[in-house]
Order: sequence, then C-alpha cells, then structure tokens
Amino acid sequence: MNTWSVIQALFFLQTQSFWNRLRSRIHRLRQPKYLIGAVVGLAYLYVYIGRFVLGGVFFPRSAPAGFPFAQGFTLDLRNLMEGMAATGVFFFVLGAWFFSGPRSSLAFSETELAHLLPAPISRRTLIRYKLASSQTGLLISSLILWFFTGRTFAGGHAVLRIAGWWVVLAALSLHSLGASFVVQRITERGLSSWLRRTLTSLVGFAVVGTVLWWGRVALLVQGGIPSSPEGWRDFAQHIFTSGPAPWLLWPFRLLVRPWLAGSPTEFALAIGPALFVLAILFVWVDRSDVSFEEASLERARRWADRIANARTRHQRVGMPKPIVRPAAFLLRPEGNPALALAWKHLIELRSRPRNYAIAIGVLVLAAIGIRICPNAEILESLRSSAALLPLGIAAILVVLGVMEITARVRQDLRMVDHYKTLPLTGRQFVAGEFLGGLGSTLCRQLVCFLGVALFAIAGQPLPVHWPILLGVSVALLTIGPGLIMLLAMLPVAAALLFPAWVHSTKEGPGPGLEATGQRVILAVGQLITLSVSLIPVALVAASMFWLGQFVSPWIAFLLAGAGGAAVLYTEIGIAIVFLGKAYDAIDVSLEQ
Amino acid sequence: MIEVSQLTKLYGSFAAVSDLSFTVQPGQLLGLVGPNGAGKTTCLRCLAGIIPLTRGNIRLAGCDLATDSIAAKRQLAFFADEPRLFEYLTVAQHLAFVARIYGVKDADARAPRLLEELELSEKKDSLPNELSRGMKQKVALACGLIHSPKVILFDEPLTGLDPLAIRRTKETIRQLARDGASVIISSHLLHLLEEICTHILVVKRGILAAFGSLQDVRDQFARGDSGVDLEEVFMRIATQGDTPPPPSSDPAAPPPLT
Repeated sequence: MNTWSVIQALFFLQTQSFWNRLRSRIHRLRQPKYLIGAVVGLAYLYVYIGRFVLGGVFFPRSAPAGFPFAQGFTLDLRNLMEGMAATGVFFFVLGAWFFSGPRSSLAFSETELAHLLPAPISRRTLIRYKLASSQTGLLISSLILWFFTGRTFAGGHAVLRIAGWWVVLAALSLHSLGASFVVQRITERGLSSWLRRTLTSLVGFAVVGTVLWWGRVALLVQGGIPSSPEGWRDFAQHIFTSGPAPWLLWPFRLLVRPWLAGSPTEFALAIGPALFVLAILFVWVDRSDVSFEEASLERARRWADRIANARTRHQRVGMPKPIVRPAAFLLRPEGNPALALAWKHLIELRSRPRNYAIAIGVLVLAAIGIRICPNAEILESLRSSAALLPLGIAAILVVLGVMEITARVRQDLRMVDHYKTLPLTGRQFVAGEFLGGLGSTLCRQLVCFLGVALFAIAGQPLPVHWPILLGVSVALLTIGPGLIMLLAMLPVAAALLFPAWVHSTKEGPGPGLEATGQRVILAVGQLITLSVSLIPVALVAASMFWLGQFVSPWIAFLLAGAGGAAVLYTEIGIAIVFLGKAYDAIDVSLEQ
Repeated sequence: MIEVSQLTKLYGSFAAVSDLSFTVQPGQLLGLVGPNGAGKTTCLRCLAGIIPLTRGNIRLAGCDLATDSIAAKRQLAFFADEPRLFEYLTVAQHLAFVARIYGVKDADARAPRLLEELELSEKKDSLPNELSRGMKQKVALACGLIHSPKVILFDEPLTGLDPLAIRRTKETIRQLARDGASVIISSHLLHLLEEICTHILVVKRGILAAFGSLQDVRDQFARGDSGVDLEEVFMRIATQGDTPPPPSSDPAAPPPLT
C-alpha cells in the first residue's frame, strides 16, 4: 500500500469521524434542553471569540491603543524576540534528548493499531500516517496559540501568524519523534540513559556557558551591571545579536522567523528557510527505521486500561490507585439508605488524607512561628497575616465543598445504570450525594477552627471577645454547610438534567457546543439562585439579630444563625425534592 | 414471579421491544435469546428499572415496577455482564453498603455466611483491583444476593470466567432457582441455556418469536425433524423471514414471522 492510499484512507477516517460525531451531537439537539444550551453557547462563542477570530482572519487586525507592541515590532525588538523565542526552541529541543525514554512510541489508539499493524503497510508509511494525522491537532493548537498570543503580539496577518505557529509546532513535533527514534537506537547499542543525559547536559552547559561568557565580556565593556530595565533590554539585545548566540541559535531562529514576520513580504522571505529546516527534519524522521510498534501497543493498552477503569470501576481517568481505608463510622444495615452513599463517599475521601495533613501542617507551623519568633516586628507581621489564614482556608473550603459535591454527583452519574437498579428514590440519591460531599468539607472546616484554637494556645489575643467569637462560630457552622449546599444546587441540577455531558468518558460524542452554553446559563443561574434564595435568609437572620441584641451580642449571633439556617435548610429541602425528581426522570437510553 | 405484559420500548419511531408478554414463575429459569440487536438488553434493562418503558406493565414479585419501583427493586438483583464495583470499597464494605441500601436486617449474620459460601472470606478486606475477574464476579453475586432477591436477572453471566468459575456460577444459578427465585438469563451461549434453563424466550427484531418450556420451544420449531436442539431452533428463527422457509410437512408448524 503506498503513502497516497494511506493518506486517502486517513482523510476518509478523519472526515467521516468528524461528520458522524457532529451528526450525533445534532441528533442530541432534538431535546430542547440541549438545543437551548447550544444556542446560548453559539452566541457566547460569537460574542467572545467569533468576532475576534473572524475579524483577524479576514481583515488585518490591529490592536487597541495601549496594547504592548500595538504598533508592531521595531527591528531591535524583533531581534530580541527572535533570540528569546529561538532560545525557548533550543531548550525544548534539548529537553527532547534529555527526557526521551529508552523506547520510542507513536501515539496510536488501540483501534488504529488493531487495523494498521496487521495491514500490509510499511513502517515508513505508518510514520507518515501518524505525521499526517497529527497535522489536524497541530493546526488547532496553532489557532489556539495565535488566539491567545495574538492579543499581545498584535499586528500582522492572522493567517500568517497561524502559519508561523504551525511551522514551530511541526518542527518541534518532528524533532521529538526523530530524537526518540535516535535515543532508542543508541540505547539498543549500549548507551545508558544516564550517559545520554550527561552528554545532553554537557551540550546545554556548553552553549549556555559560551553565551554567558560572551555576556560577561559585554558587561565588562559596557562598564558594569545595568541599573534600569532599559539597560537590561539593551544588554539582552546585544547578547542575541552579536557574539556566539546568533550562530548557536541560527537553525532555531530560522524556525521562529515566520512567526515574527510583520508583513506578507517578510513572511515570504522567512518561510523558505523554515520549510527547509522542516524538510530536513522530515527526511530524518522518515528515514528512521526503528521498531516502535511494541512500545506503541503498550502505550495504547495503558491508556485504554485507564479509560476502561474510569468506565467500569467508578474511577476517574488519572486517579491514583486506591488504598484500603476504614469507614468513618459504623454503617448499620437499617435506616435511611441516603446515609450509605455518604458513608461510601467518606471512605473514598479518607483515601486522600494529604489535604488534611497539609492544612494541619501549615497551621501548626504558623502557630509555632508565632510562639518562637524573637523579633517583635516580624511577630506582629506574622500575627496579622496568620490570623487571616484560617478564615482564608475556610473561604476556599466553601468553594472546594461545592466542587466536591458536584464531583461526587458527576462521578456517580457515570454509574447511573447501576444505581437505577437499586431501591433508592431520587431524593435519597441526591441527599446522599450532598451529605457525602458536605461531610468531607465540614471535616476540613473543623481543621480551620483548630487553627483559631492554635492561635489562642500560642498566646495571640483574639481580636474579639470569646463569647462573641463563639456565637459567630456557631452561626457560621450552622449556616456554612447550607451555603455550600445552596451553591452546589445548580451544578448538581445541571449534571442531573444534562447527564450526557457526564458520560464523556463513555462511547459517544461527549459534550459539544451546548456544554459551553450550559456553563454560561449555569453561571447566570447561579447568581440568580443565590440572590433569590439568600434574600429571605438574610431578612430572617437580620430580624433575629435585631431581636437578640437586646439580650446579648452573642445571643444575637446565635439567633441570627438559627433563624437564617431554618430558612436556608427549608429551601435546600425543597430543592432536594426537585433534584430527586430530576434523577428519577433520567432516561439512560436517551442520554448518549 | 416476573410478570411482563405488553412491554414496549420505543426510541423515536423505532421499536426496540414491542408488545412483549411473558411470565416467569418462582423456581423457573428463563433463557432470553435472540440475534444481536433483537432487543434482549433493552428488555433486561427495562426489567431492571434502568430505563423506563414506553408502554406496558412489569410486576416483580407482585410489585408494579412503574408505580411502586422501590418495593419492586427490593425484590430484584441485576447482574450486568461486567461486575460494577466501587474502587475504594473493600469486599466487606461493599456488602455493608448494599445491606444498608436494601435494609437487610440480619446483614451482620448473612454477610459472613455469604462470603463463606462464595469463598470470599479471605478476601473480605481486599479492594476490587486486588481481585481476579472471577472473584469480582463473586463479589457482585454476594452484593446481589445479600437481600435474598425473588427476581434475578443475569446478562451474559459467564463472560470472561474460567471453566471452574463457569461450573460454580452455573451451580449457583441453579441453586437460586431451586430456592424459589424467578431467574432470567440473557446469553448467546445456547448450550448454557439448554443445560440450565427450564424455559426459553426468543426475541427477534423486538418481538416475541418463541416462548415456552425448553421442550415446547424445540417441538414448536422441529418441523418434523428429530433431535432439534436450541441452536437449530435459534438458527431457524433467526433466518426465518430473511430467506424463504423450507416447505414443511408438519401442518402444525408455526407461520413465518413477519
């Protein structure tokens, strides 16, 4: 089979896969909930990205006044940029030789390997197939990089900028592949990894050392270390434009030059040499005759195993191997089944004790620091900043608590077909998920309160009278969990109403444009939900506080907390009933 | 007892299962067979309460699955082809979790007995990733049996098991039926079904093609031939309608399916 036939087959595979994926997503839009998400997502993309991208492609884009390099690059600046970019490419190239493993592998999927390895295709054609199939990804990466860097390095034509990025990325990709082939060959001939890494490091040190030596000479001539940023910039320009650096970085400069071209003419002049370097790299890789098949099979199998684990064993891709953890409490066989879910989640969370260890470690160190610090000024500074630490962590934990609950629900929804066979009502399922996520957050929040206690032990007088602190603490502990649950309501509702997004690790098209729209709707909905639901809570809490202050400030805080909590938890109870109905209404057969 | 009446599941205008009616009495073992895409999995998933029916009615141990799903599911155990276990729970913790979900009062006594019967006692503190596939299958069995279900559904129960595990699983399934459970097994292993099932249900393109005791189904499609086994019955049903049926000398032979 010749290369052209393989490329035709590849083109067929990619276009058909794309259209079939698109068709599945369009098919899903027949459900109004996904259609609305798609419309909002499209509008969002147009407003925030589309206008910008289309404007850049069809018209030369100029940056708003005040943007760095809004007027394009001066010659000096371009030389500096070219030198810096070439240095970056040089280190990337060096890294490929240093970090490359002893066996080279091409990243094929298991399906590709199953079809391609037994097929009458030569090794060289397989490499070409891989290189051709990677171009789509490189082009998308170029587009994304242009989009993000284009805002800063404005000016020039968008298409030329994207092409410039593609040249750099394609060269790096080709080089990494070629380097891994060579590393495998020299390893097979007996060169050990540490010797190869030592030699690579020596090359790196030699190049950097030569440039630094030249820099030192330049500094002596210049009359000392520059004292201003402009002085440093001039010095860097001098380094990159004279002495050994321009010669040592010459091939890398050729590669980045098209990206920095300020006009089509400059690009036309720069692209020839860059393509010449690319051609050399291609010939180098193409002529490599290294047996990568076994390593590729192993690599594909490892990845497929991880995906399979995520699908069948209730585990997320990339999660560490679990370890046995005792249950947080004894689960009696009788009682509300929702507690079983929370119990299960707590066991899972106990398998990740590092969070607690780090938090406790930081707090203990802070307390010890305050205790033993000999300098009064430093001590004062430490106290003022450390006093905020537990509060800061508590605030972060609210956000983490929301994420924890949402993650629990999304994780369990991957096994919704299993849960649906259990005698669990939707309400019990949702309540169990909330309890599990909340339990872990409360444990962490207790660590924060431990921090406050440590300050007291360390002799730091607390800024408020302790009964008031007690009142505030009780109020926060009462309302805090409710606040976390309230914030988690909408993400959980989204997961229950749009389970197809959660199924992204399963076979199927995964979340599409409608997912973006849903996130926009979610963010707006989150604000509205919070505002609407917190108004009655705040009103009741304020009223209770007003009443309580006639007795005592700490009683006022306690009453405010109790009143607010009563309203908050009533709202949450109602929300759980509705979310439970959403769970009951999930039709697994429709969510693909 | 499993009572299924006019079970229909539509995906848009496509009928995955259409007007399926059958009953499985306590102690009976029903083999569910059919060509790929015939609607077996859809049927099982409907019976397990995973997907809602479009039309029809399912009663499990006297409880209506649509109107009283929790009570119906309390009588049910569904075993998927791939054991679904929680990565972070040990074997014993799995049983504690399931016991709470089903409210098994005597779980403390039942769990060790079940682990002993399934030869899992030594593995009770192991995580699923430390177990072989056969062991995982056993853990799934233990979880499914701890609440003494009266309705048991198996989807390809022998997938990936070694010969020893296959023999033990078959014996377990037989024992469950002997203990009074109504059992449905969906499988392509016709010799397995022929060996252990009392009844057979054949579906083709979502409709019932044959239902009855194993002998009745054989006789129904024998067309005068002797020694017709389930595989031959399956072939005759599967190819019926695709190619013109051979002329039958038996006037009682069933009409071709449409």
